[in-house]
Amino acid sequence: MEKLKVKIGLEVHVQLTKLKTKLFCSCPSDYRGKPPNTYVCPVCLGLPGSLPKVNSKAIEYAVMVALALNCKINRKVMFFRKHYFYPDMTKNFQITQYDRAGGAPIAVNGYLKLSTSDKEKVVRIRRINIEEDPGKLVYPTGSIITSPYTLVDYNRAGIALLEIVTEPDIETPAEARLFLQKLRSILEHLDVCDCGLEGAVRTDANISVAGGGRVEIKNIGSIKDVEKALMYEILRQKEALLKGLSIRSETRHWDDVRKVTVPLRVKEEEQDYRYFPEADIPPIIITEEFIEKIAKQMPELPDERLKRFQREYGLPYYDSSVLVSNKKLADFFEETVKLYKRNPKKVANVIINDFLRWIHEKGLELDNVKAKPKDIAELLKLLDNGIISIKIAKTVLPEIIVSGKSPSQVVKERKLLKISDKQIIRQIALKIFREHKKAAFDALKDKKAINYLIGQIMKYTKGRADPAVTGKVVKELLTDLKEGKLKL
Amino acid sequence: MEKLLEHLSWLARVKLCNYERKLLVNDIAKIMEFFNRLGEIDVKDVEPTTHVIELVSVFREDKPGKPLSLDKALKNAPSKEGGFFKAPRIL
Repeated sequence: MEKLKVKIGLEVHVQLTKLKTKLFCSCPSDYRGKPPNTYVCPVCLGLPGSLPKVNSKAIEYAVMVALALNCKINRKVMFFRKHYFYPDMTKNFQITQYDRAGGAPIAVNGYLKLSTSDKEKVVRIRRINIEEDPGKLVYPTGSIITSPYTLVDYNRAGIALLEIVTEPDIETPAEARLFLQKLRSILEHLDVCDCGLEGAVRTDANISVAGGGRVEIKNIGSIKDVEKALMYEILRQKEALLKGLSIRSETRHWDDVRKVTVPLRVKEEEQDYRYFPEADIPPIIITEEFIEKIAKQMPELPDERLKRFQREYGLPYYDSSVLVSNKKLADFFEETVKLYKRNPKKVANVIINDFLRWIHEKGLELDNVKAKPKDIAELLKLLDNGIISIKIAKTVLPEIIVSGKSPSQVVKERKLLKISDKQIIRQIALKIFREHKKAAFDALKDKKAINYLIGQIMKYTKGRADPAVTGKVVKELLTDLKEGKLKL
Repeated sequence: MEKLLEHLSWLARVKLCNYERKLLVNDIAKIMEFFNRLGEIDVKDVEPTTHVIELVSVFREDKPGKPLSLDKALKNAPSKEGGFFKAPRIL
């Protein structure tokens, strides 16, 4: 089938988790893991007579994000009520922003540059809204389909959210992932959102294939799942087109257990939301001085950090880009380099090639890895000082990642010190030669057999034999064997 | 007008009986007529009024306060269970 034109736009909901309170009331924002409805007050429960009041820090954070995404910041910002009847909001409306009917969201018309292997790609940002998060619905049976009723917890209601909306400039699921990774790294560098927290970043994806209807996939919880959901949707829509069916515009729900999209309730249309100005919240004037002040305080962002890594540590572009794609990883790298200054490239190699792979393999996140930068630095020093072999270093790494023990402790406990004594290696090699006589004679003319013998020595010493010394010893023994000086 | 009423009752999640429907169709017709008349006014050059008070930029500091107790929070709930508000099944 020919390649079909795919257009993807994203709506990313980002909780400003670094705020201490909700958007319009002073309820604490660290609601995760708390008993239901214990972080609520008259404002976020929408009780009559309560008055929402804007968290000034939320505006600051929103301006920081807008600047980082190259947006135009509106000077007069308003909140609007978006009406819908659904129990996740007690008021029957959500306080959000609107770009029509005299309204203005905090920021519009920005962009984010992505670097893929072969090109630079610009994804335009249509707008950024500040809005309140709705409450959380809990289904007593665990399923929306089979539950006879719904339970509601309003601890999350009123948490400050940014809704970041892109233009449909994204062309593949992989680009969507890259966009979200970069956005996440920016948010973490700005220190406005701890994106690893459950539900801190939720994405809706709009996708149309070959000019078909626009399908919206709601509420995808992770970057990986955004890519999966989009791949699923493209396949589903292509199959439908092949069968001669047309794709209608609809809203679908990402089922993250079954990894499929399913049709959702019929949704309201824009006019049904009856947007109107939130009269309880006066407009917010954002002055030039305010923006300038924030611009001056902006921390280093991933693009600048990438360039600095190249300049300061002499790292190649690829290494730098992998490291800064995740703020915590880049921090981990820099902490390690502080303790192991002699070779930043070596630190980058270990972190990118081995450390990351093991984290992935053990199903961990950087947050719950036990190994600290000092452990990686120590491992490299043990290696440099000839105390352990590279092979051993590679077996020590996963252990320190999981256990939190220091490398030297692991080496000591598991007796992993490198054997570089030539006499000892010679004795072991002789034993191996005698146990594998055929291989030893084959090795006189076949290089493969030499490697086999070396492999056996490594196996016998559990990787502790110094590779250089071992190679030399085997070569010497083979010469002796050839000249008849050695009898097996 | 029947169709509009049906749509509105769906939006509001309110079921109407025949009698109510008859009454409301008339009311809605009147309301629509009123708004249509408003729609005739030329407001091309008028900036929309979003707020009638002149206050701007009313802020609160990001300082945590004390939330309601669970008892108080649920006091007016018509139906509750295990600390949650209980709502009908939604699809």
